[in-house]
Amino acid sequence: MTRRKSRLFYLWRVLATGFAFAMFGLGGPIIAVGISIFVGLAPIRTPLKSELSRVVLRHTFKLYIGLLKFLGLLTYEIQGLEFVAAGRKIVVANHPSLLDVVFLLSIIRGATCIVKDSLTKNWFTRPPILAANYIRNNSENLIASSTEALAAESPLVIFPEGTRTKPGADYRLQRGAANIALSAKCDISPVVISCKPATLLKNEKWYKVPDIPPHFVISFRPPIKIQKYLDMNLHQCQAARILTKDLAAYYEAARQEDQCVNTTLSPA
Amino acid sequence: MQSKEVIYQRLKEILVELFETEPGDVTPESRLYEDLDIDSIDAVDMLVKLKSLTGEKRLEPSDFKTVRTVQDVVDAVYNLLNTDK
Repeated sequence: MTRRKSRLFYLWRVLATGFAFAMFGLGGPIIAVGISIFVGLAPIRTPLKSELSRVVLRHTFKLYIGLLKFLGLLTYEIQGLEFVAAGRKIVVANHPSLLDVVFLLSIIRGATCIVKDSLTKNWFTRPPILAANYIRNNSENLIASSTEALAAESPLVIFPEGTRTKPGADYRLQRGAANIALSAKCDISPVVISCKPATLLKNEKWYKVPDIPPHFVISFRPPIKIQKYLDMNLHQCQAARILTKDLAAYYEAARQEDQCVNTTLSPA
Repeated sequence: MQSKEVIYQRLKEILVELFETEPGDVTPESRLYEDLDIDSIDAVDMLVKLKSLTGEKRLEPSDFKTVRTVQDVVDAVYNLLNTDK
């Protein structure tokens, strides 16, 4: 691309990013109200309601990602689709961008996720969260409601970092995911997400779009079996520490591998 | 009646045994989350273990809302044992 052209494309992406945020802000409530009216009033049982809401949300997220791609704001590829099968499992992922949860919930059928408790107090995000019966992170019932969701065969999406990854910093994982896996005796399906160049970091202005559109790789990996950790016969809080350490090492290794690929492929 | 010192020693044992905390790291001023890496899930396990001290009287997670440091835990247990409910 010539300089002028790439300058124009940059301006386009700033505008389109603003539009995409507006869509999220405006579309969110419309869908929220839609779900509340349609599902809320429909004479069906609650589990079916949340199931339906999750289907609606999954397609909405899919549509949204498609829109972002169409606008030229990002490109993406999904790897390891054979590991995505629905059912009882804990999906853990690193958290490099704002869109991670949108990607994962657009791909995994019937998935539930753990949401910040503050989002259930937000007027716009509350209806879909309640309708889809996502799990609220108030520590008192976190493990119980997660185990319940897993018992109902819903894949459970967790970002053990609890907040977006700081580029370059060590992975510092919370132990909630490990504790849930051990309590529920449930295998962990790791997903490695990469987003290059980094975009929409914490404390970054929305209009600071990167020089080229970010490329997302959503890589589903083979499961980490939980039995090994249960067989250690330790108190759960000790096993959770070991498992969490192993998970952090897993993501660290994935990052190293990713950087190696990068340095060998990109011209100096 | 348990003195604060007894409670502190027992709590220290629990921290070392359950969470592999280095005994040298535990002081009354140590903050549970920041210094000793004990999260809210661990705190529940800690409460269960503390039952050996509190017996019939139970520490509720709500009693722990304001607890930040090791000394706070000792005080909470001490107060529990010294109030008639």
